[in-house]
Amino acid sequence: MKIRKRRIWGAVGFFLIFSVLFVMVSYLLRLADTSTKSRFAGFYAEEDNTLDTVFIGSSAAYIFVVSPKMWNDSGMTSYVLGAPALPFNTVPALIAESEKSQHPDLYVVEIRTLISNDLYIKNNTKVSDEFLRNLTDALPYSMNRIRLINETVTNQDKTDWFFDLFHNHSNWKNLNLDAFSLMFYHKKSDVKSAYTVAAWQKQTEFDPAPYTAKKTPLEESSEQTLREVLSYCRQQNINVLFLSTPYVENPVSIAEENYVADVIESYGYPYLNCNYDYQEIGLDFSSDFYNDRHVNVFGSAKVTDYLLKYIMENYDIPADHTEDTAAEWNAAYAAWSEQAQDQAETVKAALAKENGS
Amino acid sequence: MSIISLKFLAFLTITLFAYYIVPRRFQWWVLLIASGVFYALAGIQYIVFVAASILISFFGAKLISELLTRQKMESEGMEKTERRRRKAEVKRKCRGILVCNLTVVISFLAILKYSNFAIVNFNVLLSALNAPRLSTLDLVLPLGISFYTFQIVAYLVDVYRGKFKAEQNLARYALFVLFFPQITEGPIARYDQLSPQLFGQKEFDYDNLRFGAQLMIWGFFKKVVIADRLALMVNNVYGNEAKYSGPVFLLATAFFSIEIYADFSGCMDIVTGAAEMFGIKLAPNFNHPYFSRTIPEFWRRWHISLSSWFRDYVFYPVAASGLSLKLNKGARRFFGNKAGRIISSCFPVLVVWMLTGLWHGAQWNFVAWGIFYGVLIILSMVLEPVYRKLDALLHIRTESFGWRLFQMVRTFFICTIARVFFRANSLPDALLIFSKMFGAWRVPGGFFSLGMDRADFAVAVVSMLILLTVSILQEHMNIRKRLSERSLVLKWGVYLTALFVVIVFGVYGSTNSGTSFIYERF
Repeated sequence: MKIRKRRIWGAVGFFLIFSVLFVMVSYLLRLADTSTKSRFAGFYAEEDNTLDTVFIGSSAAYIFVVSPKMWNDSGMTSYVLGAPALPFNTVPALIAESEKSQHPDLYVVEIRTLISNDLYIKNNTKVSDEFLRNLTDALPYSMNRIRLINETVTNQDKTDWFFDLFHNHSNWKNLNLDAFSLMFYHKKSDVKSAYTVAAWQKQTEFDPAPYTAKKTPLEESSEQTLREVLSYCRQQNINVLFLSTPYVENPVSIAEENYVADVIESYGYPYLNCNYDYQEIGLDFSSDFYNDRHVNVFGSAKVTDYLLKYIMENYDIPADHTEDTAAEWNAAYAAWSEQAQDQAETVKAALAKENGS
Repeated sequence: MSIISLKFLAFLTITLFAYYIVPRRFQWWVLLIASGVFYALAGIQYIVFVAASILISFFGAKLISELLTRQKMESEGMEKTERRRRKAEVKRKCRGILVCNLTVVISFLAILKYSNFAIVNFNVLLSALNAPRLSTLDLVLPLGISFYTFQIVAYLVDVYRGKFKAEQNLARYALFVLFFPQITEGPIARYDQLSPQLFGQKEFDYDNLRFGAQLMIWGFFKKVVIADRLALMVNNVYGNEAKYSGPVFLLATAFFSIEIYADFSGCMDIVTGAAEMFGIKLAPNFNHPYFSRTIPEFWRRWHISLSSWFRDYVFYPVAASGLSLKLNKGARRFFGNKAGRIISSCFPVLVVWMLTGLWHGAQWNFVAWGIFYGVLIILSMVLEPVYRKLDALLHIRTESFGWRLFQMVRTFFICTIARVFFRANSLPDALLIFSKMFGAWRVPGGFFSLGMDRADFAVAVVSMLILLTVSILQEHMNIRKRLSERSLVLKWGVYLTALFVVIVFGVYGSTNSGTSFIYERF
């Protein structure tokens, strides 16, 4: 009896050690998209309840929003919890994940991945799986991660999504010291999720004003997703602003956004479509973009200023923080400024070269 | 369900749990249900073939057994001549039943596995005659058909030979044929060895569980870390024969020799380990074959259950057949007793090896592979006295380490050469490889573009060294037992390291192609 008991405890102990090691090795080898992973790790490393606003979205969020600049200009702390091509149905899981450590005054949810010209990713399983992996790899094991996988991974075996080590195991070839520092999802982001880009590409200006009245319903599944997210937000009783950051639109996408506005407002939530405000933002299509869907470092600064102004005018964000928090954010602003300055020089040089020729 | 999948591990865990919690007299039912489910998951449509084979052989063997028993009982009071007459009469009846049964059971295998081979070859003849060609059939082999057919054949013949009485319970017999750990790739079990274990009542034994799990981990290591990694290069070289030339083929084939050993013996370790968890010890299928000093020894150590099957159910019957006896008589008359005996034994050897080749695949390259080995074995029989004389003449210390090592390397080299036939996609491909093998080295893109990059190559080399070291140690000790006697920290350290080496360094998953076992195709 004694031996049997000892063996049972031994087996339990062995299983526990194995599980801990399994989790550690899994985290270590999540290396496909370290920039998303470090963005999430930075979020988890923030002290509890120190963020005033949390942005959620795809590259349409994290490339457009510069949190250190917002801090510097207003004293509001914010963070972008975003991943490339982030599927919109992951929003509830990400809000739940955020609520574990932060209870921000405001959530800002970017909606671009609902619009049909962004659905090419959703409709290409290989590409969407790859993007989705970046997101699931950015989340430590949790019930929210399971929920997120259940909602987004369809028509395939989910085993190696839940236990991603079975998918990521070959990453041992790319192991480096950075991987160890991100292993425990607790490494502060030097620039507080800012991700500005030092590239440039001339775009053709698109004015959405003539299309204000045109409304095109979303794909059925996209609308259902949107309604589920809205219901979730209402259920959680949280303050949410839905957002579209500006890009080179077309008549179809603006008509869909108009429809989205109606749906969102029918749930009592505000929706800010920056595409209508590009002139007010001061966006210059010839210098502020690096492709038709994303702004560069100049554009990011302008969009950030505009968003900050909108938030300050429409929301009551107390923004009172300890000296330690303030010092940390000041350092983040300094780091981003330095980086942004270099990036601005690069873009300016490219522009000068283009104009010179 | 692949036995190297998490699904299989979950399936095994559930089955084990059920096995040890049900009343012991129902334990074999758990195995039968699990085996049925396992087989059905591979493709429910194939159950019809295995079910038909089971039903036919069960009733056939039962009839033979009843006839033999009745004859024995009846003959007790009979006179000698009458007894002989009756015995011969029953034997004749039994032989008829046996032949009918074997014909049906083997015909399933023959039709499903060899129809297209026959059609393709017949088409060659038809095209020579300008006749319209036959189209090939869209056939898929049921899981484990080559293995369970041989198992059934052995059972039928053993019942006919009176080695044991036929099983009286159809469900029990079905379990013997379908037992899930071994249905995919064997080992080809004998009824008298396996059935007492399947139907015996087993108490939960922690050591069985532990040792079984250890063996499975070792099998996983061989399969996913070594075999599937080497396959990256082997498959590339053997899929692009025209692109390369020179000793790269020799290297790829040497890697294939190791790959196929790690693949097959890895599978055997996994299934033997799984069976051991149920307290069932399967017959060993490998005994470090690459430590063999001669080709016959190699075949006594490689795929033991198949070699012994061919020995018992093909070689002996063919050697004892009327034709063979006539050949023997004739050869002795012409060449004298000693040489005649050797020459006459060539016939059954060649038959066995041609069939062995065909068993592995319905392609001429497999036939050539079988003939190659047949000829080698005949040569080794014929030349054995010459070798002995040479050893004595040259004063070779045949038991010295150096000489033994030379013999092992030589055997490995010969096996590697034979593997060209085995691995090539066709006989012309094999001949092309032989023609290019000894030419100038040409590998566009360099060595590390062959499928394994530097990191993979480093892991492959280290893993092969581990395999070699463990194999040497296994020759001298029971590693699992020795390890179990060590401190907890060391034991757990080894187990955990092994587990994570398999998980991290294994070549598997959606980004890799390897998962199926080589012998699964046979």
